[in-house]
Formats: sequence, structure tokens, C-alpha cells
Amino acid sequence: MKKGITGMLAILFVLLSTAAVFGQAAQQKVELLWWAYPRFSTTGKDPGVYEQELVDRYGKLNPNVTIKIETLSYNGGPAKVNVAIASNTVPDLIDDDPVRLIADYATRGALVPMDDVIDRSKVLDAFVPDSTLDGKFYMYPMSALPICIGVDKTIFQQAGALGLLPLARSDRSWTYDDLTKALDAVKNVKGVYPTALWAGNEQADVGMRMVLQTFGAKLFAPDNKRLTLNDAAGVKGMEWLVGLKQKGLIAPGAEAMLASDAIDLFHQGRVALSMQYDSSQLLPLRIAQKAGKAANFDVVLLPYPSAPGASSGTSLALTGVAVFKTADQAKIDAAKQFAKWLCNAEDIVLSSIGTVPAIKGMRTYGQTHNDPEVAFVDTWGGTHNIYAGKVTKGWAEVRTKWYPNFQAALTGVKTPKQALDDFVAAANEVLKKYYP
Amino acid sequence: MRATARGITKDRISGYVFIAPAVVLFAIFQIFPLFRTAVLSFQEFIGSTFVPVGAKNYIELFGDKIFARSLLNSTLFVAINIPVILIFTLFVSYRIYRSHRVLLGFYRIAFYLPSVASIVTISVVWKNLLNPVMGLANYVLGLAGKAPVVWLGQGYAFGSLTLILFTINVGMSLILYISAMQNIPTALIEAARIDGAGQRRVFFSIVLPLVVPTTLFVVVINTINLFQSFALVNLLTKGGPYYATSTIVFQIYDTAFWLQRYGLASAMGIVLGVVIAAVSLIQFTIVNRDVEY
Repeated sequence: MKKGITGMLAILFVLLSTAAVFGQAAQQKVELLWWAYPRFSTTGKDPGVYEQELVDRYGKLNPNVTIKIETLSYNGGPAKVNVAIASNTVPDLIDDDPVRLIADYATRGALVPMDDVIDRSKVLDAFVPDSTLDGKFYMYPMSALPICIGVDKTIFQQAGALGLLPLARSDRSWTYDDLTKALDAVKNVKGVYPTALWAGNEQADVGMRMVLQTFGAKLFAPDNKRLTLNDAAGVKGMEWLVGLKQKGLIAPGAEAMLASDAIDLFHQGRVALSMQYDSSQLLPLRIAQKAGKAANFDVVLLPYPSAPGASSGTSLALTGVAVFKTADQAKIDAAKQFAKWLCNAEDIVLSSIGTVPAIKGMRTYGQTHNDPEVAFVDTWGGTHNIYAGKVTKGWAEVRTKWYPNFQAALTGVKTPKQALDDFVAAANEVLKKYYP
Repeated sequence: MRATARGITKDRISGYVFIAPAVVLFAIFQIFPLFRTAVLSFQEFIGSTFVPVGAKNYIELFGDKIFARSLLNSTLFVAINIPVILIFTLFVSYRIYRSHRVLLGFYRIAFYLPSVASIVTISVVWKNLLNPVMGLANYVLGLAGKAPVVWLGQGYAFGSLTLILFTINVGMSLILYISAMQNIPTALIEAARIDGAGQRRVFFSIVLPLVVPTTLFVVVINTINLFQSFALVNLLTKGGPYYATSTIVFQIYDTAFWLQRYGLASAMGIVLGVVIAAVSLIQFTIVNRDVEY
């Protein structure tokens, strides 16, 4: 009898153990979908190639997790995500910037909080506000990119105007008078426009807005719920921008130009100074130059000018990874772990477009690659004024009000003040929905 | 008698069975989305759910200056392009429809190519041609000593898009007119010639009246296509500068997929449907009076 009971217990034990093992194995098999913007452009690889290498690498460490990548374009990606949210067909994770992840998707409740995988004490303080909503992390911050002005040093050398650039100053600080003189100095270089502005769509609007902010305009009221960019300083900034067209200092067609068109002109040597530039454009340019696929010229990076005596400014464009709210908790957990892995490996973080890691203790791109120009810019977060592209609820819609009004100012349909007033009024109408 | 009735019933049933797949597909992909759009136009997407809002979207729409501008632009694209397409295609078709078949084949390909080419490819080509800094159009102007023009900028963008839309839409109309003219009995034209009618008289008294059914088709189809102009606008101007080229369908796309206002976008879609139906009805009424089948 005793033998019988013991035997039955043994069989039961074996069955339960087997079920547990198989059950665990079945639970751990997770297939994730990652929608990836081409944010690893500094590797010089085609979009999706480096991401696939990362997935393969992660798959070796976590054989039960398989990750499928779908590459998004900056032009169509946001619309695709919007449709996915409305139709409940979201991917498991996405990499993007806080303007969409926090100000849009998290605000709409489409993302899950990530506080359980983020050690707040390890995130650089400057990046916490843009990664959180109502005190919770909804984006695993990866890296940030200091936004600069790019200058074709070769053109300025040829024009004998190199001395007009603030290269001798330790922090490269300069004023808008200095910038205007520098642009004037290359006005007559044959086949070259001093600079280019863009109002074709909302992309890279930060470059134009930075001008207004570095003129001293306050983007928001202190409560962050109302735009105040149309203060006296903002109007001066807008007048300066529009004045560039009247003085013949910009390439024609600003009202229809995209930021990417302006960068192309800069890379083709048709524009001497790019009003928005950063390391993520400089590094692929260098790769292309080395391969003989781009013209050889030197680029120097400068901060945005400021009022005399003030430190010049930059804006840190943060990027990170977020996990969508789906019905499958196992997938959510696995996606969070993958996001954590991506954002905590220095080599991966420094392959992204950001050159300054968001997690403490990592070196910057300039330091690891012994690149003095990029290393110098990487320090600006601590040495220059930081003008944040504020992440607030409704910002995605607010941005769409900027470019039609900037077009109106550039084409003379509205005065600079009227265009700025109309933009701010339309933006505040949008913000009213979120902050009644 | 009963057998005959059964026969008719059998025929009917087999008829229904044959058309069932088409009807089901039509219901799923045409009727249901139409119905769903109508329902959505009385809702709004808030957070992650659709909430009923009554007629709020329609009320907002009729006070929306950007929508009014887009409606005007779409209407102007139609009003300018339709007469130009009709006159051009009628004239060219009449000149070439009796050409040697090799030459006629060449004309057909040349005019029809933009209609079948990818709109993305067409947009890229035009964007490069009209590039204010490096485009061929300004290069040619430069050779003539003229200042560069911002073809997609203030004062020119609408005209440029009208021209491109014309090149895209003219091909199909031309093919249809050539076929229609080739179907006109040669005896009619020869008889008129014998009676002393010249080219112009033959065109106006014989050819033009006999291609009226084709004209009706060309007018209605082009009206619908032009009212639905979107891809070109989205790829070349994004509706700018300052809404100068914004169209209704572009506004629908922008409102739905960028601003997440699916209800408002659906209301725009319903209004567009009503406008197209009304314009088509007017066209049918005017042109149909003289149609001889």
C-alpha cells in the first residue's frame, strides 16, 4: 500500500515538474514587433541593417525572444502610428522622440509606464522631464543630440570671412549681429546662398523656433500650459528671420522648402550655413566624404547666437524607446527588457543619432571616437544655455500651426508679428483642449 | 405554368449565386466603409475611444476657413482643368486619330504614360524640375536672362499643380476620344466632305455630336479624379504656401492621420461625397440632354 502511494506521488511529481518546465518554456517564447525609425544613421548602414544586428545579438542572449523589425520613415511613420493606435494594431515597441512618445502617445494612454525597469537615479536629471508624464516614465531615454548651426568652413575660407565666425572664442558664443555679418560676407560667392530657411512642413521646426528663443522669447508661460512665443523678443526673432529673405541672404523658395532640402543644399555646397545641423548629419557626411560619395569640405558646428554678453544656446534633442499598451503582458514585459538592454549598452547608445547618453556613467560619442569637434559639442549641455523643445500635451498638433504661419510671413501675406500672433493664438486654442 | 415559374426561380437563384461574390465584396469594401464614415462623422476620437458628439463636427466644419479654402482650391482645380482637358484632348484626338497605327501608338503611349506612372515618381521628377535652386525650369529661365522663380512658392504653386494635374489626367481622356472618333462611320464624314464641308464643319457638325457620350464620361471621371487630388499635393506642397494648394482630400488626410480627428475628417469626406455627387448630377443633366446612344 505504502509502495503504491509513494509510486503515485512520484508519478504526480514528475508530471507536475514536466508541466511546469513546458509551461515555463511556452511562457517565455515571445515574439515582438519593433517599429524603428532610422535612428542609427551614424553607423553609415542602411536603415534596418544595424537594428537587425541588434536583434540578432539580443536573440543570442534571450533565445526565447524573437523580434521583428519594421522600419518607419519620418514622413509617413507618425501617420502610421496614429492609425495603429486608433485601430488597436500597435507594435510592441517603438523608438522616437518625446514630442510624439510623451506629448502624444503617452498623453493618449497608448503607452505603458516603464518605472519598473528604469532606475531613476541613473538617468541624467536634464532628461527626466522629457521622458516622463505625470511623474511616470513612459520612455526609456537613450541619448540626446545637441542642435547646432552648421557652417561650411571651406566657403568662408574662400570668401576670406573665416574671422567673422566665433571660432576663436572658447565656447564659440556669438550674437545675431555677428551671424548677419557672416552671412553678408558670403553673399557674393558665386553659386552659393548664405543660408536657407524652411517652412514646407513641421519637420525640424526646432531650428526656426530656436532663433526666436535665442532672441530671448519665452516659449511657454511659467505653468507650461500656454504659449508666449509672441513676446517682444519673439517678434524680433521672427523679423530677423523674414529680414534674411528681404536682404537676399537665403536660398529661394523657403516657403516650400523642407529641412531635408536645406540640408541637401548645404551638403552640396550651395548653402554656406545651415540654420539647423547636428552630429547625426555630420557623421554620415564624413562617412560619405571618406567613400568619395560627397564633396570634400570642412564643417564646423556653432551654437545659436544670443544677446551680447549671454552664453549662446543649443537644444538637446532627446530620443528613447517606448512600449505600447497591448493585451499581452508577457510581450509588454519582454519589450521593456529589450528597451532596457538597448538603452544601457554604451556601444548601442552611441550608434544612435544622439551623441550624449541619457544614462549616467557612459562616455559621449566624441570621447569614445576621439572626435574633437563632436566632443566639444557634446559638452554644450553643461556649458551653454539649453532651450528645450518643450514636451507638453497637444504639442504634436501645436507644431502643425507653425509652418503655415511662417509661410505667410515669408511670402508677405502676414507681417512677422501677425504671423507669430496667429501661430500662438492657434496653438493656445489647441492647448486649451488639454489644459481647460 | 408552374414549371416555367420554377424555371424562372431557378434562373434567378443561379443569377444571385453568380453575382453574390461581387455583391459581398462591394458591400464589405464600399458600402460598409461608406456607412462607417457616415457614423464616424457624428463621433470624435478622444483618448483611445470614439465618443458620439452629434452634429458638432459638421458645425465646426462650416466655420473652418482652412476647409473653405481647400474646398475652393479643389473646385478651382476642377473648374480650370476640365475645360482645358476637354479642348486639348478633343483637338489633339481629332488631329491624330486617323494617323498611321505606329504613329498613333506612339501618341497613345506618350500621352498615357503620366497616367499610369507612379504618382511618387511623377512628383519626384516635377520636384526636381521645379527646384528653385537646381531645377531645369529655372536653368532655362536663367539662359534667357530671367530671374529664378519659386515654382512651388507664393503665386506660382497653384498654377504649377494645375499644370501637373493636367498632364496626369489628359492621357486617359485622349485614349477615350481617339477610340470614340475611330468608331464614327467613315461614310458620314466622307458624305459631308462631298457636300463641301471643311475640317471645321466636319468636327463641329459630325464628330463633336457623336462623341458626346464619351465627353460625358470624360467630364465626370475627371471631375471625380480632380476633386480627389491628394498625393501630388501631399508630396509637393503639403497644401502650402499658406493653404494656397490645400485640397479637401489633403485636409481629410491631415485631419485624420496627423491630428487624429477622425470624426471631423469623416464629416469632410461626407461633404466631399455630396459635392461630387451634386456636380456629377449637374454634368449629367447638362450633357445628357444631347446624348444619342
